[in-house]
Amino acid sequence: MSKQKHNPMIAVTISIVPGLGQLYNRQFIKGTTFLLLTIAFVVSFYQFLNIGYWGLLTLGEIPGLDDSRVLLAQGIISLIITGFAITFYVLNLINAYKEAVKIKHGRKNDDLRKSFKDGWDKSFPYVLVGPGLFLLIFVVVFPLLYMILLAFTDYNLYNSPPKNLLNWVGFENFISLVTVPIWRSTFFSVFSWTVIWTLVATTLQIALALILAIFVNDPRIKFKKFIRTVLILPWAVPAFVTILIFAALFNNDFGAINNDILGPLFNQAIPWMTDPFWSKVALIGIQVWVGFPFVFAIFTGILQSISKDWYEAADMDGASSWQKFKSITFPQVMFATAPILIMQYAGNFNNFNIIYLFNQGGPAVRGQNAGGTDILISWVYNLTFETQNYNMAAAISIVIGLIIAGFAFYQFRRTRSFKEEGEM
Amino acid sequence: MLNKSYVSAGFLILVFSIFLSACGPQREVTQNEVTQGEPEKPEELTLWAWEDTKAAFQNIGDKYTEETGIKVNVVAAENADISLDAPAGRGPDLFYETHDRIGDAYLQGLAAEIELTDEQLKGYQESAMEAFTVDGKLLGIPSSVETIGLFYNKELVPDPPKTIKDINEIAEQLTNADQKEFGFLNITSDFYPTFPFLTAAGGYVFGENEQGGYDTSDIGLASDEVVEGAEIIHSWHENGYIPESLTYDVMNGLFRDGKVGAIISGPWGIPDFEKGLGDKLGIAPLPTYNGEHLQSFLGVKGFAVSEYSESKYWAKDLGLFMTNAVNSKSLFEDTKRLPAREDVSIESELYQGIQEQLQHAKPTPNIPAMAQVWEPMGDALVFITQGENPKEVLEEAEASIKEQISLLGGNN
Amino acid sequence: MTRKTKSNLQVIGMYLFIGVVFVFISYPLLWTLGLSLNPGTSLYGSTMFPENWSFVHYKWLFFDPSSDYLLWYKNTLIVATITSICSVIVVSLIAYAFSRYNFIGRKNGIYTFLLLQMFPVLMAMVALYLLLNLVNMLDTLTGLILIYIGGAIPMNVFLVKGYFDTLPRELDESAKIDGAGHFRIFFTIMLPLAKPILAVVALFNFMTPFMDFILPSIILRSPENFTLALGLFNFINEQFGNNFTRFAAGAILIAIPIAAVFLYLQRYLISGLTSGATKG
Repeated sequence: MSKQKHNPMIAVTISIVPGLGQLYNRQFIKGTTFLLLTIAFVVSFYQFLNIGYWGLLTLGEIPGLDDSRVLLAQGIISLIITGFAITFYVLNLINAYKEAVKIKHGRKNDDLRKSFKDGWDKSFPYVLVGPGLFLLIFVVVFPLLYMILLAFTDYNLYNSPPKNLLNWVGFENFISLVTVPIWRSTFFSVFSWTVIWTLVATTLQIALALILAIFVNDPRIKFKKFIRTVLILPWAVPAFVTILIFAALFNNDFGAINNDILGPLFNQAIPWMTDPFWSKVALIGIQVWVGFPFVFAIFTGILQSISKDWYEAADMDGASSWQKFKSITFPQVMFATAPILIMQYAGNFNNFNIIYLFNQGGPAVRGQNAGGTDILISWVYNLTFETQNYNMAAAISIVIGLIIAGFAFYQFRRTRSFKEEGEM
Repeated sequence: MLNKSYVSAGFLILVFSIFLSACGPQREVTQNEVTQGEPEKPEELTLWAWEDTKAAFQNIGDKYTEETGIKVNVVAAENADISLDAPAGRGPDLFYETHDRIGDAYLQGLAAEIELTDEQLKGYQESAMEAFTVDGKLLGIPSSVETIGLFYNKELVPDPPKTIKDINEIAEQLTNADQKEFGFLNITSDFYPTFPFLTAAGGYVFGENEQGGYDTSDIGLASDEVVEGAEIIHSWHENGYIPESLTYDVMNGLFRDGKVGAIISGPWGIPDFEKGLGDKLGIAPLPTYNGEHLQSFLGVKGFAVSEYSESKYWAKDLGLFMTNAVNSKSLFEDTKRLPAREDVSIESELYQGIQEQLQHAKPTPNIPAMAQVWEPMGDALVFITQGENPKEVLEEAEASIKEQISLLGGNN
Repeated sequence: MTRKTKSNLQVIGMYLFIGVVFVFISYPLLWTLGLSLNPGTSLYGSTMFPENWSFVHYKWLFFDPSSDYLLWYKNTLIVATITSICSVIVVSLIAYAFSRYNFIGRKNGIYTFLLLQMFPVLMAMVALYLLLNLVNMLDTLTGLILIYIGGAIPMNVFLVKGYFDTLPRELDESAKIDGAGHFRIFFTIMLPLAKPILAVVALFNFMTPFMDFILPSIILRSPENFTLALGLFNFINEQFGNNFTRFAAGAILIAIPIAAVFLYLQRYLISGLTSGATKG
């Protein structure tokens, strides 16, 4: 066979069965491996994928025997496996084509060693990222897909698996989100407090962490190790424990804060648990207490990475502490942690635990379906799980997720464009 | 460049071949064969219980093993999700459940219908059986019953209050809020222990429909009789008898330390109170109002057979064994749960009061709609204690309950 | 005002501020400690400095036959240690790729996952149950560990990548010219320099299993596999068994290993300062 006659198109076409193209290219080891892998894939996954796709389309046929939830999960996993397969398939086609072109242009196959080395160099980052990506797809993407698909089913109290089969209902749940009054009206009234809560609690917690990190990092401060350890302590106690203890301390009539501090010192008692305003104040205080050590730890780590030279140069220019903070420390720390901080905001937006454990979203407010301190997520989960509207819970979760992810995306882009200057 | 159409063609072929093959599993629906007589004995039966009863159930289970040779494995599973575990093949044969959650279990197809012969039915309390009946189907074998009573400190209150008026009197006499001393306490923000007082003059949660089931469109919690009850509750707060942010933890602690004359509590509190009060602890039935006994909620715990059990016959058999007269009595001795049977008599002075109150207790509705009642009513009670207009507040609560029930989506 | 007195005033101000924060931090913590030493079971009647304090709750946790606390402790330590070590390895490898190599997905990869993780996932927990059931890892610590490692990747990779980016490229490029392989550069040059941030990552991942009770409650079933947070949460979640004081004792014992690990890792957090000179 002459080199000019070697046709890349043939290589691609017969690569529809992976490996044949490589064999045509006379890469016998590679070709055989591909071929064997393909056969192994088809043999071992055929049955799984078969049931997976069938389950995804039908969500089961026999009530009580088919569990729609399981079939849905299996269907999504089948999609993911197919995704992996298609990726490799396309790579196989591209590889067959490229190698064929090389042969056509008269290049001999590289010797095994060199081609191995080149391949290793090229694929090295993928080797590093691969296992993590694999885990991520199953731990992060898979549950998310599952939830998204649930939002398009009729999974509620009266249609619960395993007794009943779920059905696809299209956008019905999203439509009732806007048409059923209880969802719509409360959604907006809760939204404003959610935003305030997120902004105030998170900003305070970051500010406190930053101040403390800078102070403790100051070379003039002694006992750094001790101070840092104490500052980390609020984080060392599980948050749910602290929140419950705080709930007890804040009790109007019997809590230590009113009885032992405000009473004796100011002769006052504040209705922490029964007045919405004071409940909110208490919640923000608790969140700052619980949340700042995490940010503090990150800031402490990041502060080490700021080169000392910059401060020395600033000292030589006679810069004040404030100037140094404003032009070196602050931008550097924010530069390095902006997305983490955005994540903190997002986390508080969805901080179900603290609202629920402190006062179950209470105190109750008349004429309102949600409690005085309920944020979106706590109200939604309370209502949807109480009424077991799992389909609605999924639909609203998606809406909440889109809101917060949309906001974060916008923020990421802003910090990115600022960051990109420093990229390679 | 690589010809894109070839790649796309490759895609399509792959995707199509998968979809074409997605024709599903081949199976036949097998009908459960009705076997005559005793089916073969399984080697082991798994019973899901809660941590606090695990040991007691295991004791009875061991007796069952002696009798039948079937091993009984009792697991503390209050946190397990049976709706996931059972279909996944990790579920129990028999599970311990409260009657008010059996409606949910039935809707999810987790609890199998239990058919009992008249012989087997003998000895159980009728109201307990009723509590486990949904749509005319028996879904659980009752094991124990409970309701609330008036717990009092014999030192502070030598004679238990017989009427609501008596309660108000001891509250007036003994309450000294600054010293954290109280005459009478009740968690008025919780619908469960407050229901008897709220409905002192009359009222109900759900009315009855023609089939003898619950009619969720008929809620009886905003009538003038209920308003009358609400006034009583409000007066406790207005007169300073009960502090606003009282919690169970605080109330139980104060009572145990001998600082409260009387509280409303249930048998679950007895061991702890006995530790603090010893012989001073007394329990009386709830007081009367206008000569009528206050009606409390009846809670029933029992055993349900899992729909996913492979040996339902023996699971049921074990359930009956766990709740027979002898074992009900031993369960009371171990865990102080009052038997759901008529043919077991408990001679305990302490439990006498609860047993009397049981005569005036009606099961909490076991339909899922009941779950929508607790929170709106709890909120309404808070507003009532704060002095809002009871009629308005109760009507709002009813509307809110109805709205939430309509969200359930079903037609019940 | 001389520079010196100004500096002194600043230092005093800083100490004062830290002192105030100390008070706020320690008040509830001391309360928890006091609670755990109260002999009763309820919050009420407990005091910060109990008169007749006793270790009865601690004793119960360790020695009572019906207490699984030690077992839970062991489980949690296993999960936390393995999660921490594996995370540091996986995360630093991925961060290395993101910082130093070009590949498909480099530009948006981390951000995409960070965004995906913002969706509230309580509903999705069921999916993890089904997944683990499918691969037979339900009710195992391995399953729990894998999910912890996976879930922590995006944020930790982001942190470590940011740190790697600040390390000068000349270091690894000159090593490459000297013929060092990919892994060699990574292990001998990058890793040692990134200790401070790796310490942070290790700490984060060590702590998660101590704190989280939601995920374990979904995938762990047998009490002998419980982690501390789950077991502890059940103390107060049991229907009528509010046992706040025992709960507090259990919580105090959680804080100890975490504080210890933090104390140990501080060495590395601070070592960043000293090695800062070589980075310059």
